[in-house]
Amino acid sequence: MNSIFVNSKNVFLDTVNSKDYVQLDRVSTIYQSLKDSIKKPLKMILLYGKPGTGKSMFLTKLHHDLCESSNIYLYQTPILDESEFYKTLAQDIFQTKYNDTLNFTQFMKIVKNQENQEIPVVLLDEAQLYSELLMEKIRLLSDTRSIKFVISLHKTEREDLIAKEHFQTRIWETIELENASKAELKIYIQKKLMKANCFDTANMFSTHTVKKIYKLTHGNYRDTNKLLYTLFDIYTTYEQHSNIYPLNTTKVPNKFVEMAAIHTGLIHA
Amino acid sequence: MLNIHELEKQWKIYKIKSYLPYALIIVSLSIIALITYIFYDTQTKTRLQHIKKSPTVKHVQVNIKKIKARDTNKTIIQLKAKKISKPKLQTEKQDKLLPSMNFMKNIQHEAQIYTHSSDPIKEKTTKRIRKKIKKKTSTNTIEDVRIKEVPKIHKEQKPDITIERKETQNDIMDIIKRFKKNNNPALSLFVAKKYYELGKYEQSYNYALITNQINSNIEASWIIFAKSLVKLNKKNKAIFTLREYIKSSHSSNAELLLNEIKSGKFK
Repeated sequence: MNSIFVNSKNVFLDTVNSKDYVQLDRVSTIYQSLKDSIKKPLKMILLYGKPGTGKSMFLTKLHHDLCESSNIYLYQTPILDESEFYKTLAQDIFQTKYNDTLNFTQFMKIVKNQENQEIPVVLLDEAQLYSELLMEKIRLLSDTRSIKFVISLHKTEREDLIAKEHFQTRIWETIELENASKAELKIYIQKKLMKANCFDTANMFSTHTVKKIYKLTHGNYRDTNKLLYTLFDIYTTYEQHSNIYPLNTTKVPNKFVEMAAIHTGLIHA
Repeated sequence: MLNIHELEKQWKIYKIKSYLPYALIIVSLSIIALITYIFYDTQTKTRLQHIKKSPTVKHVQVNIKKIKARDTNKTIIQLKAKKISKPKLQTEKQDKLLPSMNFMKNIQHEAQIYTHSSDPIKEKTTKRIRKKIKKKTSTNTIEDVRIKEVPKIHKEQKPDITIERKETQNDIMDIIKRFKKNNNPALSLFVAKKYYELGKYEQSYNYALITNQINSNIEASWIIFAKSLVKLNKKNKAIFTLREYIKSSHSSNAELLLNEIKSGKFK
């Protein structure tokens, strides 16, 4: 089905793809500062923020942009087993394959034996899932200045504790990601739709509608994506049963936004 | 595929829930407003009742009623005054603030009025008097209006009347003094008339007698003389005097008075 609503719905699918990255002024500035930090001789960079603020997208975009020019490795899913973690790093960074278990001492030896001129950059997403012991060992690895770590964390009380206690002296750069403002959210929605050539639906989002969406999602990108996906799902359903409700393609009715919010759990009816 | 019907149901429930607090606030506010209105309304009513029940107000109301009653009485009196016969009007006129020297002019008019003559000058003078009285009554009505507002003014009118009386007595004394100086019978006749009006019949008899001694041809003097005698229970002497006077003057007024005394109409 080539309906504009179906196409618009697919735009807001919850996937982390560097192509879906929407360039906003504030986000672009943060992204540039992160890129600059990687070039600096820093041991560790912490990227933190609430869930759905675009941390994973940031790391994906960064990897995508620097993978050709730099020695950069992205681990979106945490490797919780310690031996597996060392073995994966040894294989990816130093091309050293180990069939047996690899402990921290053995991995340190491999790292010290390498004489790479360019320090490899390891991007660890969802780092809050790593155990404290492993995080301590990651800290020791960063102290050798042989591997540079960029870790992304959810901003919770526990993660703050980790950041403070274990990495306070080693983290040289901290970047906090925040939810979008009303104006940013409007640009985000419209840019996202226009990227997929959904100009008609992009035009439907007036300031009033965006305000309503902002009220529900507080500018959280993930929540906004979820809400708009459901919104266009509602549109497609009504389109299929056009006798139920006459569709207005000039603006988004509040009823639809509220229905989408009820369905996604943003409103508890 | 979404279950749109179910979602619409949930949305309707949500809308009802979202409007419910506003509706509750509006209803509660309107109830509060209604209660406060009723409260203040009852308060004002009770205050008004207290004011109505308070003795000072009663007193004021009573005073107003009194004043109204007085005013009505006064107006009635004023209306009556309009209807009163000519001599009475003249006396009232004299009681009021006329200058004492004008009494001299009125002496002759009074005497002529009593004779019931159809003289046009008399009519004119009576008309003038009526007009003056009307003016006075009109001024009095204006005063009445003021009296309604300020009851003190009403009280001050009473001493005014006594002052007028004193003035008439002083006028008589002045005229007596002047009479003693020039022995004008017109002055003594006026004094006699005034004393007669005031009920001092002995004095009126004396001054009428003095007038007759000075000039025995004044009809009014003889009539006052006879009237004073009747009032002093000397009816026979009065009849005798009038008969003697009629013989010499053939006065019709004297004859009329004689008949009235004889028939007992004049007592």
